[in-house]
Amino acid sequence: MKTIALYSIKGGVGKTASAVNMAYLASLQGEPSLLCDLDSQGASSYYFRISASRKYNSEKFLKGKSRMYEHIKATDFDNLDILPSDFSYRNLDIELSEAKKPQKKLRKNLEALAEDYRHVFFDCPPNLTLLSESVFAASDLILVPLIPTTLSIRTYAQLLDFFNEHDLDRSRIRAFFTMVEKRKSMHAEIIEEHQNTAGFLRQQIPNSAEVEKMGIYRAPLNAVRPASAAAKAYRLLWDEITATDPGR
Amino acid sequence: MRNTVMIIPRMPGYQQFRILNPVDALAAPHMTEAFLQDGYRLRESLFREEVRTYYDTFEWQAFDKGFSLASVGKVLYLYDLESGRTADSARFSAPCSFFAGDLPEGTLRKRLLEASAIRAFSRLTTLHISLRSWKLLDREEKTLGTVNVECWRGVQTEKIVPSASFISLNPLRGYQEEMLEAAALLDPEAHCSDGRGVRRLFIDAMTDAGFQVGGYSSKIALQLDPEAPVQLSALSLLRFTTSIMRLNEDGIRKSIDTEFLHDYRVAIRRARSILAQLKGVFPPETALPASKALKAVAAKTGPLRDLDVYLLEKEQFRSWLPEALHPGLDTFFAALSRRRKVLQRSFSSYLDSPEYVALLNLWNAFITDSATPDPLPAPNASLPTITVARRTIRKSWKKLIRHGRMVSRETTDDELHAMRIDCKKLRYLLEFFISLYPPKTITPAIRHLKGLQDNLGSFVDCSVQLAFLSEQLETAVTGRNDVQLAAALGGLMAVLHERQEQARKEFHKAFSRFQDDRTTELFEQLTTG
Repeated sequence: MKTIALYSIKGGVGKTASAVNMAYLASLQGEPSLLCDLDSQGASSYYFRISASRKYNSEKFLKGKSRMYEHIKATDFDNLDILPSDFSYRNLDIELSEAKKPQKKLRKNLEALAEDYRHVFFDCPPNLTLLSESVFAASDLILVPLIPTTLSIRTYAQLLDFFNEHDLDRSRIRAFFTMVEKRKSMHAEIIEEHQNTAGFLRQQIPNSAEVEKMGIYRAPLNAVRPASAAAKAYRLLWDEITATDPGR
Repeated sequence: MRNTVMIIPRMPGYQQFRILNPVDALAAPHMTEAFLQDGYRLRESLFREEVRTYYDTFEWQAFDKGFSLASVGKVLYLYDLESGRTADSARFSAPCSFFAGDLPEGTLRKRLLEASAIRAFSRLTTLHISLRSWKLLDREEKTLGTVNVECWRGVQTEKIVPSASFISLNPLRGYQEEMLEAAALLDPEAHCSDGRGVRRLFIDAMTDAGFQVGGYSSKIALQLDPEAPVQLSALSLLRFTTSIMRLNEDGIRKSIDTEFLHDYRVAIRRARSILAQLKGVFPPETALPASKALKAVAAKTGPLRDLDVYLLEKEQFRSWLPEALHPGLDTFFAALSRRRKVLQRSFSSYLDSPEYVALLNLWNAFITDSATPDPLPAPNASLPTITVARRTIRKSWKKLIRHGRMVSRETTDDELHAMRIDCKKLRYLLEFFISLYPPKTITPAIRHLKGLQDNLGSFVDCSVQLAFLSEQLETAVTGRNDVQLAAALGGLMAVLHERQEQARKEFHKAFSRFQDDRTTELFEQLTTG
């Protein structure tokens, strides 16, 4: 099992769209994927027309395997399941802080799913909290979508600092540019500056109305508009990630 | 795409299954729709007709594993007999009969090999199936699962109404509860659930087509009465072995697989062995000619069976030899196959010959005569079965022990051949009388005997094969002087010789295990009242 987190300190950077499309692309390879919607806003779940069952809350999520099993739901796509978000996820940090080894808690709970899923994706909330730390500890790969702006680059630097301060393994982090607008000179300059930096993926995701329309389609872009520019970009990005994956 | 019909969930226990009254089958989901929660609806997702040709081995080994096997076009499917769901599939254009090993590498091949590697899967019957599926959607248009209706119609029958119909629900993961709610709405008039799954429907469909599912096993399944006269018990065994012979004739004629002839031969051996061991139960003037009739039939099958054994060992023989010797081995096997074909044809025509009919008539006259024979030539005929069982098992067991102890340190071929025959005799007695004893005594007794038989069997098989190969070697040398063939035969002989010597070395150990205190105790229990 390979765990991949889609993470950003900053919101509105195309994190959920990336998580949904990449989880879908992974499922197309024929082995089951699970998308864990950890964001209390539940955007991933919404994209799959799924709402969490009424009985679900964060406490159950942390109780591990059996509880988690009960709340996994199939999407309408083969080999793609989702652990839906629930509003109570905003309490996850409080729950985690009461756990014995909060950073390792998530990793431990996931071990039970190893036989069921080849890929597990985390769609993370945009903040840097105990939950984020737990996700970092549980992820083999941390994908950071960045809009090519100075502010984005700054939050990325903050993330790297956080890893340094907490003695975490930075080599698991990969950044990639999203919502790229070719005509904006600042976008071009920032991409030019960072493209060859270690830890940056080469493939970019263009800014696209199609991505925004995922809220109307309520399905992965790669499933409903596979020929669109953004869908193609996601496919190439996923290829780049799987090709450079040392675990394969 | 088949998977869209029968979703194969990654976790078990998902499916709701009901057998429907066939007349109402297709209307049932529509009736349900009216009762669904506001905003929920059914969307038809599939309608397909297909022709399924079902397969199984003569011993129904797929059925025994809980599956049915059918080909649809160029794909072979394995269905779960409880749920009807597709359990596996593989691209394979199935001929009239095939072996598991003929399938392409994959999970289905592996599963069929587990069911049977040696028996052929043969065509049974064909059913017309219509499949209709609906997706159950919630208010958000999220699919909660599928509702499937499957109707079966026999090809032979002219009936308009399907022979069987069932509705099944496949909830997607995480939507079981919602689907159960929908299931509760299914028109109760329409379903006649009997909780036996598709298995019942499958058995009925096969019965309609003239097949008795699970109706064949060469294992002895007689329930003997310990107090009944032994002559009647013996006759019931002989009638059973005769029925096994007859049931296998057709498979031998069609050369479907090697086990038809094997079971046929074992049935004859069993019958003759029991006849010979039950002294004074039948008058010799009728029993002897009857037994001779069977012997004459069996004699015709020996060379054919030998060839079958070689051909079955083909892969193993290959694995013993380096690749350089494979061409010679292929020549050898090609010759065996040709020879087998000739013998198979000749025996098949024998089965249809007046000579065979005459021998069978003689034999049948013997086993149908249930009159108590004259006590002078058959003084033991009226003895209780249990008395004779104890007496004959004891005699056979003691003889085996006595002979075994006499086997010299050299363990000569003749001694071991004789031991093997002693073992077989005892084995047939134990299996004949098995129902008279508690399983906790007779089962381990048979198991311990089998341990010794395995040792002797591998010895004798090696020595028979060695003799055959050296005969072949002679003809190879005097004939076309095929060096490659001779080299392959030589290679095989070396391996067989080594294995034979291994078995010879292990005999004394195997025998001492058989005559240890535990086995002795078991046989004492079997042979004393």
